[in-house]
Formats: sequence, structure tokens, C-alpha cells
Amino acid sequence: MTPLLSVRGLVRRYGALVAVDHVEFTVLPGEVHAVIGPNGAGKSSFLALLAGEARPDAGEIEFAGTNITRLPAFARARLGIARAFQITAVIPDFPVLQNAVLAVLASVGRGFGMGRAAMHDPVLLDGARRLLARVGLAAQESRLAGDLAHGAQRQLELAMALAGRPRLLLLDEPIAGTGPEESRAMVALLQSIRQAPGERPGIVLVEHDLEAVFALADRITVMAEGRVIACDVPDRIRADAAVRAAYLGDDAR
Amino acid sequence: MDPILLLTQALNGLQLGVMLFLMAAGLTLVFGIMGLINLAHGSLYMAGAYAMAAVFAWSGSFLAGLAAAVAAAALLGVAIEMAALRLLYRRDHLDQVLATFGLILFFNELARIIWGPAAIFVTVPAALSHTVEILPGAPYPAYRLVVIAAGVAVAAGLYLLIARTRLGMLIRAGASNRTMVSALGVDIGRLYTAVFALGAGLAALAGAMAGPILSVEPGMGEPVLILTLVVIVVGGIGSIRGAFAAALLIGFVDTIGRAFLPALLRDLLAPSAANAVGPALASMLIYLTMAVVLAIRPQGLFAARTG
Amino acid sequence: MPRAALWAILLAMAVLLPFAADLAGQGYYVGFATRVAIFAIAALSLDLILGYGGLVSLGHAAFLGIGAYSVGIWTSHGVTAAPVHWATALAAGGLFALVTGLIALRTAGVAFIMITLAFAQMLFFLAVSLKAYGGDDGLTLWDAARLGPLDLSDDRTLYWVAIAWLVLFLLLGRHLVASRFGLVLQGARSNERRMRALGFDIRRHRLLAYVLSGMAASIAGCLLAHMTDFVSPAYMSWQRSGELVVMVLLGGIGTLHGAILGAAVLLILEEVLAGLTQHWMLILGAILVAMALVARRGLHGLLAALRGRR
Ligand SMILES: Nc1ncnc2c1ncn2[C@@H]1O[C@H](COP(=O)(O)OP(=O)(O)O)[C@@H](O)[C@H]1O
Ligand SMILES: [Mg+2]
Repeated sequence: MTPLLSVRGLVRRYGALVAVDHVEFTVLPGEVHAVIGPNGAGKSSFLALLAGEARPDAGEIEFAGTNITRLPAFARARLGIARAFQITAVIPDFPVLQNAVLAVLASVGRGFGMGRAAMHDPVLLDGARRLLARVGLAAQESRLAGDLAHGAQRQLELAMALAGRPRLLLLDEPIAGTGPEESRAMVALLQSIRQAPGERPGIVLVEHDLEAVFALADRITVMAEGRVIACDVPDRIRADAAVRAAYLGDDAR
Repeated sequence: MDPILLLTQALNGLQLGVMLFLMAAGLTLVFGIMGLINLAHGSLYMAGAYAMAAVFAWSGSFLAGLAAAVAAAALLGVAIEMAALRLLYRRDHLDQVLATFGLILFFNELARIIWGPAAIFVTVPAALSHTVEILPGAPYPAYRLVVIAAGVAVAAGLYLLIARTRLGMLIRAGASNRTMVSALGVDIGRLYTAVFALGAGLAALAGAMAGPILSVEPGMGEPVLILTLVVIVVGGIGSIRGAFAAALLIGFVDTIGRAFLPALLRDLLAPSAANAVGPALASMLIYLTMAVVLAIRPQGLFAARTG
Repeated sequence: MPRAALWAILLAMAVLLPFAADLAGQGYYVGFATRVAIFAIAALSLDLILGYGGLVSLGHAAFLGIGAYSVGIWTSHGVTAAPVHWATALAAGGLFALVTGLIALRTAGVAFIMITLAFAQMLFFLAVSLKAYGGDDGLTLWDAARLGPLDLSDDRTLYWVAIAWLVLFLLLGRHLVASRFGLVLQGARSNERRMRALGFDIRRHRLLAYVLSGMAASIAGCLLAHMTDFVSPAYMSWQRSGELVVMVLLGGIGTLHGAILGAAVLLILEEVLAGLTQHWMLILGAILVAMALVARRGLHGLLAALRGRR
């Protein structure tokens, strides 16, 4: 199977620090490829490079047969790369429904839409409500997004990412920092995304919650100090001595 | 092109450049460290010029005037910082614009009340009122040479201050990492006030030295302020090195452009067209320079890594 | 009272104002009201980018200058047809916004403030150096602009024309901020990163907003020249730009109608203070500082807070 995403020799420096150091990486269609590693390993920087928010100092990124290394973030989003951030990024001063409308709008319109009302458009509103229902936020549609609980904001953000039926989802710690209840809901939601007929986006999942990672991932890449130190199926990662030393060791305690 | 004229204009450009650097250094530090856009920086320049004019006239000593100007503006800076601006550091840029715009109106009117609306002329100190022959047949005002020397000396001093001293270390650290500075046990409020006073003193020095070259009048700070803002964006907001390079660049471009562009155009265009276009283009040249730099490097020549 | 009725009453009052002024024997107020309407247009156009787009422009008076000089230059060549002046202003203002916006929008935040200010200053000096059109001293317009059969040197006529433009821009503005375009603009003000990740080309949206805003403000500049029969570089001084920002903040940012309120309040305030003392700028400056420190959301916010408390 040809990979959906393939990354070769990706490098990103911050001054003397090499945050992402010659990373090789692939995601197959429909695959959940988890990235784990200690804090500061470069996971978020790596996602930023994939999303186009930061420019690599070296390396190539290919997505669905196109070289996207030099495309800006918004253009990558249009190709079908959607994103949830480590620090939740919704539009805090918009109501929940309006956030969802924006996400639907991003997926349907390409013009400026100056002549078309936004919040009275049945197409946008229906799409937005369907999205909210999918993540269980329908009842909260008129609250300000910034007033939602942290877990609910994460779900809203994920809903917004899903609006454009992305082919690749980049998720930065969607579970970390949520309570047990919310975290179970999020794992279930991610499972449902994986299995939704016809969609099955590839997912790059950066996550600290190893239980969730082992439950969801098809493959796991372990990063430390910017480098990939292992990449394999979950069972073998669990058994890998180098990984234990670099990461699991201090977490398994 | 006449080499003597070129040399003279180059010196004029250098003189404008060092003045702009004195203004820009304080403004860019205040922005880089405190995140404050202080439009009233030109008022401190004006305060320096007036204080200089008053003390020089009263005491007859130019040096006393300079010292008074720097001291008065530094005190004024501390007062403004403590009374108003420190409340705005973490705020929206819009609040900062509103408050410092208000300060400009306030201080310009205050100057009008105290010294009247007319321009005050400050004479060049007698010891420097002669010209110096920098090349055979090329006289240049001694006062301007001293201004250039003083500006360069202050720039060097500022460099040493930032590179070598404890205050400088804190300034550099503060520009990139607030929490670290607090963790060092430094009273960050005091550091900010000190930085603000330093910037005010430099602006006042520029204003005081400009007194005998330009006229001292209410509102004199704003044209300089706007040039300074151009310097800062071209140099890279928050970067002292950038401010220095851009100040010289803008100083040269403006002076040389005004001196030679009209003549150059006369060679290229019909005289009537050249006479119309020349001055217009010369007066826009620095802004066009800014546009070109930003089109190529939106972050400015030396981007500082600040938030 | 339903909102529509309220607006209808306000509009009727605005249209009938000249008659009331006549009855009261205070013809002077028609001119003053025209000024308010003109600055309301400029402030409203600024609010589109400032309030909805989050772009702090400190050079908006440049567009007043562009509009004024469109009138001045045509008039000095004997062209007095206002539609020609307006079309020129719209084109020139839009073009200036496009070119400077392309550069200014490559940067963000505080740099945008400085760059817009610098470009306005550039235009100011350009006008100063235009000796053929009065240079520093400005240009007096000897011929009144005409709109078909109407003579715009007539105070009332010009007032109604200004009100018509204001209403048009208010309606267009309201439509625009409620449109898809407006939603994207506001989303980007609040969370740029999220909007990019959704696939919106934020810079293009902002550029368009900036161009539209510049065009509207240029019309205000035309009207200003029609009113004063005079154009000068002072129309685009940095103080003017600052005043426009103050108007938007005073009336309440991001509301459009707040900009109208702010224009009225600032001009009235200036008038009142100037009646008290020759040094009224001192007081105004102090008021602005106090406003920045305490009353952050303008009169609109103050009213809303009072209403909320009751
Ligand atoms: N914008 C930046 N500027 C400077 N250093 C950065 C920046 N972003 C990340 N870093 C550094 O890069 C390294 C990797 O960070 P990050 O990608 O956030 O790691 P992770 O997500 O794995 O915790 C860290 O040492 C971090 O301090
Ligand atoms: Mg991270």
C-alpha cells in the first residue's frame, strides 16, 4: 500500500537546539500512527511541520502523492490535513454552534462569501448541528466555546477538525489533561472515527496516555531528543528495551 | 557627482542615523521587553529638547543643558511609567495606542502652555560654532561632528551595557524570558522602570542635541517618532542591533535621496517632470525602502526572538 | 421597542435635522452634523478592520487624504462632477489599500500599527511635495462639486448626501459582518491559528477587508473636501488617524453603530472643551489616558454594563 503521508529526513532547529532531527515517518491510509516520547522530545514541533505552521530546515513531506513541503498551513488544510492542538484552539468568544459553522464553512466554500449570510444558512447550520451531535455537544450549542469544560472544548475542536472529512488527522495530546470520564469518551470517539464507514482518515496521534495509545494505535513511533528511536507495532514497542530505557521506564515506575 | 558634496551628505546621513538610533534604542527595548508600544516616546524627545533649551539659556552651559535634559526626561519617563504605562504592559496593543496617543496630546499642549506655540531657537555652543575642514575645500560644522561622535559613543556604551553588565544581562534575559528573570530574584517592576528611564534618557539626549539643528517646538517629537517606527520595523522589532543598522540605513537613504535624487532625475526625465517628481520621490524614499525590506523580510533585517 | 423601529426613528430624526436647526435658528448645526456624518463614515470603515478584523491601523487618515485630493485635483482641472470624484477616490483608495495592505499584512500585531502609520506619513509628505496642488499650504477649491442637478456647496444638500452615504455604508457593513466573509474575519481575530488549520487563507480575507475599509474612508475624504472647499496634507496627519481610532474605541469597538456614536461624541467633546479653554487638548489627552486605563470598552461597554447592573 502506498503511504498517505511520507516524511523524509525532516529537520527543524531552534537556534542550536535540533527539535526535530532527521525524522523518517509514514502513515498508511486509515492507519493510526501514534507518536510518543518524553516532554521536549519534539513531538509538537513535528506536528507543526506536518501541518505547515513551521518551515523545516531540511527534509521533504509528501501527502497523497503531492510534495507539500513548501505549502502554507491553510493550503495543506484544504488538501485534507486537519489538526487539533495541544493547547486547545477553538474560537473562545464564539458560541459553540458558530465554531462548528466556521468549520463547515471551511469545507464547503472557497470564495469570500460576502453576499451570503453565515448564521442563517441552512446548509451550514445543518452541517454544524450534525457535527455537534456526533461529538455529543448538541445541547451546548449556544454556550460560548471558551466557557466549556476542558474536555468539551477538546471534543469541539475535534469536531471542527472532522468537518472537512479530512484524509489525515493530526492530534496533539487529545486525551492528556482530561478527567477519566472525558478521556474514555475521547477514546471512544477516536475509535468511532477510525471505524466510520467511508471516512477512515489516517491519524497521527501524539499522546502521553499510554493506555489510550496502545488501545488505538496500529503503529507507534518513539521520539527522544528530536530523533526517532523506535517505530513498530504496539506489542513490540512494549517489549523494546531501548524504548523502556528512554521513556516507558520513567512512566511505568 | 561631486565627491565633496557626497562626503558632506554622507556625514549628514550619519548624523541623522545616530539620532534615530538614540530614539529607536529605547523604543525597541521597551517593546521587546515590556511588550509596550509607546507612541509617547517622541514626547520624551521633545522634553529633552525643551529642558536643554531652558537650562542652556539660563546657565549658559551647553553641557549643563544636556545633563539636565537627560535627567529631566528620565525622571519624566519614570513618572509616566509608574503612573500609567506599567498598567498597560500585559494589555492589548489597542489600549496602549489609546493611552500613549492621549499622552502625546497632553504633553504637546503642556509644552504649548509653558513655552508658547512658537519655535524656540537654540544656538550652537560657541566653542563648536566653527567649521572643520574635513577635506581640503570641504568645511563641515564642528557641532554636527560632535553630535556624530557623541551618538556613536553612546551606541558603543549601550552595547557594552547590554553585553557586559548585570543590568544588560537582565535586559537580554527579560527580552526572551520573563519568568526566568523573576526566578533570579529580580524585582521585575524595578527592571522595567529602569529600562524605561534608560530609553527616556536616550530619547532626551537625541532631542537635546537636535535642538540647535532643528527648531524646538510643540509637536516636534512626532515626525521623529514616525521615522523611528520605520527604523524599528526595518531593523526587526525588539532588536537593538537591527535598530542600529536600520537607523544608519534610513539616515543615509533619506539624506542622500534628498540631495541627489532630484539631480539624478533631471538627467533621466524632462526638466519639468523631474522638478515635479524629484522632491516627491525623495520625500517618500524611506517609506519605499521600508516597503522593499518588508516585502523581502517581513520580520525586518534582524528579527529578535521575542513574543 | 423593536430595533427596526428604533433605527427608523433615528433615521427620520437625522433626515429632518436641517429643518429643526432652521426652526431653532441654528443653521450652524447642519455643518456640524455633516462633519459628524463624515467622520462617522471614516470611523465605521475603520471599525470593520479594527473591531472585526483585529487589525489596528494607525494610518486610516491616509484615505481621508486620498478622497480629499481626488476632489481637489479634479476640481482644479475643472471637473466638478461628484460621481467622478467619488469613483476616483474609490479606485485610488482601494489601490493604495491593496498595495500597502499586501506589505503590512505580511507582518502581524504591532508591526501593522507602525507600518500603516508610516505609509500614511508617506502620503502626507507626498502631498506636501505636490507643489502643483498647493503643497504644504493646501489647495482651495473655487468650484463647487455637483451631483447631477444638485449643488454640493449647499449645506443641506451636502448633509443629506453625507447621511445617504453613511446609511449605505452602515447597511453594507452590517451585511458584511453577518456574511460568511465577516464570520471568517472575526474568527481570525480571535484565533488565527485555528482558522489557518481549518483551511482559511486569512491574509486574503484581511486584505479584502482592508481594501473595502479604505474605499469607504476615501468617500469620507471626498465629502470632507466638498464640505470645506479645501484640501491639505493636514487631512492625513497622524493625529487624524489617532482621532479615528479614538472614535471607534469611544463608541464601542466591533459594533459599527458604535463608531457613529464615537464620532459624534468626540467631535462634540472637542467642541465643548474648545469652548472652555484654548488648551483643551490637555484635557482631551488626559481623558484618553484615563479611558485606556479604566473604561476599556468605550461608551458602548459602559452602557451595556449599566444595563447589566440594573
Ligand atoms: N518556538 C520555539 N522556539 C524555541 N524552542 C522551541 C520552540 N518550540 C519548541 N521548542 C523546543 O523544542 C523542543 C521540542 O519541543 P516540543 O516539540 O514542544 O516537544 P514535545 O511536544 O515532544 O514535548 C523543546 O526543547 C522546546 O523547548
Ligand atoms: Mg508537545
